[in-house]
Amino acid sequence: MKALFDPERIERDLRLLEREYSLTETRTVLFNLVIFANNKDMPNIEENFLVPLLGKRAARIIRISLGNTGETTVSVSARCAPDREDKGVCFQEILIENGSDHAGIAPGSWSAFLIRDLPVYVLWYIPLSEEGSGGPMTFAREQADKFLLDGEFFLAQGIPLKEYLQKVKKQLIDPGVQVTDFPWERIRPLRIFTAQVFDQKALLDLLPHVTSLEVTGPSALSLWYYYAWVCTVLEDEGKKVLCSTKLGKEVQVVFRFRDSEQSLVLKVDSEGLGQARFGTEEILVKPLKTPTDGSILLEQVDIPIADPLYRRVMESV
Amino acid sequence: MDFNPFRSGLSVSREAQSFVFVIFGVTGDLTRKKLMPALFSLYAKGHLNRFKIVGFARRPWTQEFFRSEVEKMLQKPELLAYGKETLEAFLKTLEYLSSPFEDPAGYQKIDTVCSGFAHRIYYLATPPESYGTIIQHLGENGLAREKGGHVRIVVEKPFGRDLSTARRLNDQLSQYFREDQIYRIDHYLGKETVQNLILLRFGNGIFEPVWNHRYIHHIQITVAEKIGVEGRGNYYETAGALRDMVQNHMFQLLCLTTMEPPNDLNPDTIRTEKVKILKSLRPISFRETPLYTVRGQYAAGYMDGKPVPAYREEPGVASDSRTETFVALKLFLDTWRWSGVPIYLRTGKRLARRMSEIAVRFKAPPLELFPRAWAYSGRNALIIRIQPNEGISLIMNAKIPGYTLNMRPVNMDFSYGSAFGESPPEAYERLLLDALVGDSTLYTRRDEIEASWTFITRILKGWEEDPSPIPQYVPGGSGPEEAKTLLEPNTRWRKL
Repeated sequence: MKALFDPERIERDLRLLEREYSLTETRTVLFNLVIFANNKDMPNIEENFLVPLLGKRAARIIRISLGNTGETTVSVSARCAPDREDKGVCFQEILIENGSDHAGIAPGSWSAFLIRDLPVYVLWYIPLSEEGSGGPMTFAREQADKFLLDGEFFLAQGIPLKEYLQKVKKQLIDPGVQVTDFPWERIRPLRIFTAQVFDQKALLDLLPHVTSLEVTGPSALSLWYYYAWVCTVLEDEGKKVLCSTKLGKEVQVVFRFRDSEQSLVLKVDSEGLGQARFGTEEILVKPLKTPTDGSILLEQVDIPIADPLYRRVMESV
Repeated sequence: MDFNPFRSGLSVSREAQSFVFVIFGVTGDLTRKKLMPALFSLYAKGHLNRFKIVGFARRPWTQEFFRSEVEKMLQKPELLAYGKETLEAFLKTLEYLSSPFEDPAGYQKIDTVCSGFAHRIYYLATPPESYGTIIQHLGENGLAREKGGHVRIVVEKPFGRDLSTARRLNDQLSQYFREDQIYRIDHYLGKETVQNLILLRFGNGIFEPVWNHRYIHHIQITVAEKIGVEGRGNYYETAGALRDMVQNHMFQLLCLTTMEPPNDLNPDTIRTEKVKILKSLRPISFRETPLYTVRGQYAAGYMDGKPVPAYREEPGVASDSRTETFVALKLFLDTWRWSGVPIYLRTGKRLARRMSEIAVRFKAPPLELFPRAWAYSGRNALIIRIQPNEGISLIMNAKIPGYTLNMRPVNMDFSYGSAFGESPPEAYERLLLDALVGDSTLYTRRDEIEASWTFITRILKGWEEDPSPIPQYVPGGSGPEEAKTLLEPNTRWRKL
């Protein structure tokens, strides 16, 4: 039976390509990034995740592209971008186009390309379907130091919010996999801003009297993550609050307090400036830009451990 | 409620809370080039919360004019990328106080402009001649006293020009400010590369066991510059390479390379270890300076094919100047760990290339099993490159393929640039944020400054007594030939 590829030859080709494209003799790889996605989603992943990472971290990128017909094929390439000293920071890239033979998605087809002793990050862009042992998710979970998901993508595919959260919990959180969901990271500046606002003693003293929380924003999943976080924090303090969410263009959070006419309003305008007001008093104004997918990925690949607070919030699902 | 539960589990990068940042000499170059861009960048990145920046200077600027001047200082593409609204919000935090530094009335307004903010930082961005006046007025007007918040003062280098001037400045400061309120800034310590040294030594377990006199033959620290004094002849005449580079930057590299592992990352723990190194430097008496120091001046010649003048022909430099543009030192640390290990320091202008590195050369194996194929066999070295091409190389020996047991040195090389491509933050951003959050690790303590000046002043005195001519060296080379005389037998300066 004909072998799909020769791993040694692929490694040799990668070395030659990298030498050709890099401006320096020094070659370094910091981690493996394995991407599972349909071929139609690859351009989007390229633009949002890989282009911003190129030139900032040297990596081996293994792309497993689904939705192809015919036989599985494997190809290699290398890309380098100049660093601050005009030397090359490179990606070694392996593209496995999984064909109708399904050979490409089999663990044996991509595991040989992982560089041992380096962290493995898995960017999962295909359905979180139930599977028996031996399926791609099982092996990816075993290999991954961290799973990277973009919940917005799954919701855009028509998966209901609750079902998505339950799947993530059952398939990844409960088995103990380190997980980062991009919408959770996108609201991090807002969570930090909230904490900074409550650093002020007068507002902190009002916190036990919070009665309700209204959150408005453009993403249902981010809204859920935000109020789930607030509720988790307040429940730890023995406090239950009434939460409501509303889809809207701009981000706004309103905290209401018992026996107080005034509410605390946090707003983020379209320019990314965060403003906090208690009644008519301005509490805090500061830049609050939502991080891009590229900047989130850059942070995530530096640390193989996921945010423990995310796990705690997901336990409430 | 005492604890903010929203902070629980939230990983937050460092942030400064409710402060006023008063810049003395706000109309100067340092504010324009470094301070304002750094403060704005910190704000735009979300590190600063409630704050106000107060400019204090003689010029009769209005509030609006000050804001428009700062706006001009921030017209850099990387800063404009943060957006107009962010810039406008930042400009709203600015306030200007017009006053001569000698006039107490100006200082009496500071309390009023700072009201409503918990903490304050005074930044002396003036020429050093004004430091004394400003410190005195701050003290006499009760502005150094902490009333419910921190009060800190940041002082720029040069921090004295010998031991007595450094002590005088320290005494002036300590008359009104406690030592933990004083932040003496050396921007060299804000460089990512210098901080990497701490990580390399104490974040890896493999170096510490061999980091001592039993395994290390000698250490060479080099900071070489390709440029000359570049129009700063007037200033350089009052400084020279020993004051300008060795007393501060190179001694910091020396300390970080040789200090004992600190018990924790507390600023004072680290600084105490650094002071121990400076105090353990074997003194060079004025009679010994020719044995342990070599100085030089660059002569006329060619750099990159272009003719360049001699140091003594530079504008602002005396034709009979004895100011050194090159210095090499041979040092010993009288400690258990470093006993008998020579440490060579060398810095100069108009040398072959711009580079800074620390080279740690290890001793040969105790028994020579293999034939000495060439001069370098058996000598391992760890090279910590600071610039350019920041990284680490380990030079070790490997067998040359063939029937014989011949070996040659090979390099194991790690380059930060090919692994991490992004630019590190500006040194001033890092250092200002440290001062705002009260982390003085990368600032210099009084005893550190005085210990280094104690050592350096002895050399300066020795040179004053020494009438011999200053060796001249050819531009584009490695410095004066005389520098070779410092080295122990079988030791060479590393090639530049």
